[in-house]
Amino acid sequence: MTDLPEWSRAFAGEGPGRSRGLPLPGERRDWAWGGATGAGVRVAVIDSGVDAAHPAVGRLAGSVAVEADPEAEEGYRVVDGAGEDLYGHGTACAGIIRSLAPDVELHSVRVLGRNLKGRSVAFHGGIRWAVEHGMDVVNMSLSSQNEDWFAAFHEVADEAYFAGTLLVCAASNTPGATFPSQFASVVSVAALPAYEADTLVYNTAPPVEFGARGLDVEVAWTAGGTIRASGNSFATPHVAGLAARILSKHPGLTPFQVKAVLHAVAGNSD
Amino acid sequence: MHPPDGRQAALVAALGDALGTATAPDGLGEEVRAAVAGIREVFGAAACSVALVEPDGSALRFIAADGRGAAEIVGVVLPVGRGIAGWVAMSGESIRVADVAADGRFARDVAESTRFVPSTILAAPVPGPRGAVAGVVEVLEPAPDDTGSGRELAVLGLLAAQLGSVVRLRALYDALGTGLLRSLVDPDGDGDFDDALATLVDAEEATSLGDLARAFRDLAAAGPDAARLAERVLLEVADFARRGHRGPGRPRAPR
Repeated sequence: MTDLPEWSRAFAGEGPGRSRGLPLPGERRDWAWGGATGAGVRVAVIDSGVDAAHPAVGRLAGSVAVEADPEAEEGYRVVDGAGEDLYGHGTACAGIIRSLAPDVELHSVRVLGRNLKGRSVAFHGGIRWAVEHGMDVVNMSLSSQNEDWFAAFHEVADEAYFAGTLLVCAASNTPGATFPSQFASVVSVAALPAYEADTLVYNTAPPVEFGARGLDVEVAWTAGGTIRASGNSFATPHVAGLAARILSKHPGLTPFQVKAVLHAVAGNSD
Repeated sequence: MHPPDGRQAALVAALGDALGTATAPDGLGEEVRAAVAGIREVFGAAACSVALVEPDGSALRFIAADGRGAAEIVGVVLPVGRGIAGWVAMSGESIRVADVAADGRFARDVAESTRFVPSTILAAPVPGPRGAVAGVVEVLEPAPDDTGSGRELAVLGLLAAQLGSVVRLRALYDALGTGLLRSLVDPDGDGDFDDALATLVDAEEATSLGDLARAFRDLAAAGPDAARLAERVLLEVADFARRGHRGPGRPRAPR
């Protein structure tokens, strides 16, 4: 086995090494999010829907479903109020975000349906919806390897970046480029062994930039229950939740500023 | 003999594609079966299976398995909206679920029909052409990951990618065979080879014959008599295509 994916190589063995973070005032983590609850921050979960009634989620500020529609001008339509979680995965991500930032305003953007057709167009449409509706943080525990959509994902990721919407994306476990997780305009995340929910490691060999807790995590799932699961999918909402806390304490930070703060508070930053 | 017109050429070429679909699973199945046996061994698992996405994207069909419940799971078709495999196909992300029983959408009925209900599942997407998800590989009841490193998902992702190469290669051979057949029956066609392939992808006949071919494939799996029946019907269809709707030809001699 000589060709492990970037993220696996980066966090294995001796780890990614150390790098120099911004000299934030005082204790860095306290400056970054000390006392913050996520209040005033709008977070979208682009996924399979979110079960608002799940105890780990508590409530949703809104939910929409983005569905492929060849007749529509943009190739998709947005259905208001459709939030049912088709798999349990979106509820898992929302529960993790809520546990770290209990007072965020959570929105469910369902882009995964019951059919693989139109997956990319709905995913892309979901990101666009989040940008147009002023979300501060977007959790995307999914990715695309469809090269036909490279430019479209790149464009909407740039739009988010300039509009002040932070996209937090799961890296893929498979070799090859995945979108939008490999773009510099987003925060890309992979799972690493950790027991603490606020563990954060910066990868000095991107494109995957951050490692967070994502292995053997108890997460919310269907029917109000929980499961123990592992995957980059579950590391991502940990970073999204921390980002929401940063923005809660420091409203108006741009995506590149939030990324710099995440880097500064990473466990391997000097 | 008059050269066939474009529609006839497309129909014959689509038939070639259908024949490829009808016969491909045996060849592909052998390769994939060997792969899943190896993957099961790597993870010290009770079972390993591979399901491919059906052409319309609505379901996953298990084409190969090794270990407990293998014989029962092969051939099973699950809606892509169900359970862990469906999630992986939809999201393109790998996942490890440690207590499957707690997943309300876990396809328990299917697991029970194989007489093996696992508690832990690893699952990763099998990459298809142009970034699409071609299928899902699942490892059931893997040996405990004592290192807790999470590398098992990375390793499974890599193996799934290799499996994806096998699947894509097979699809490529099918496409090349179709294109070759089209070139043979329509040597003076005004389109080039790539155009011919692109046309076939969109041909309605290809879709319907693909469905037909899958039905034949299932018939063939039912035993030699059913296989002979499937072959006979396919030959009749080929004869119909060759005559190009120019009225009834000479009756075929019984085989």
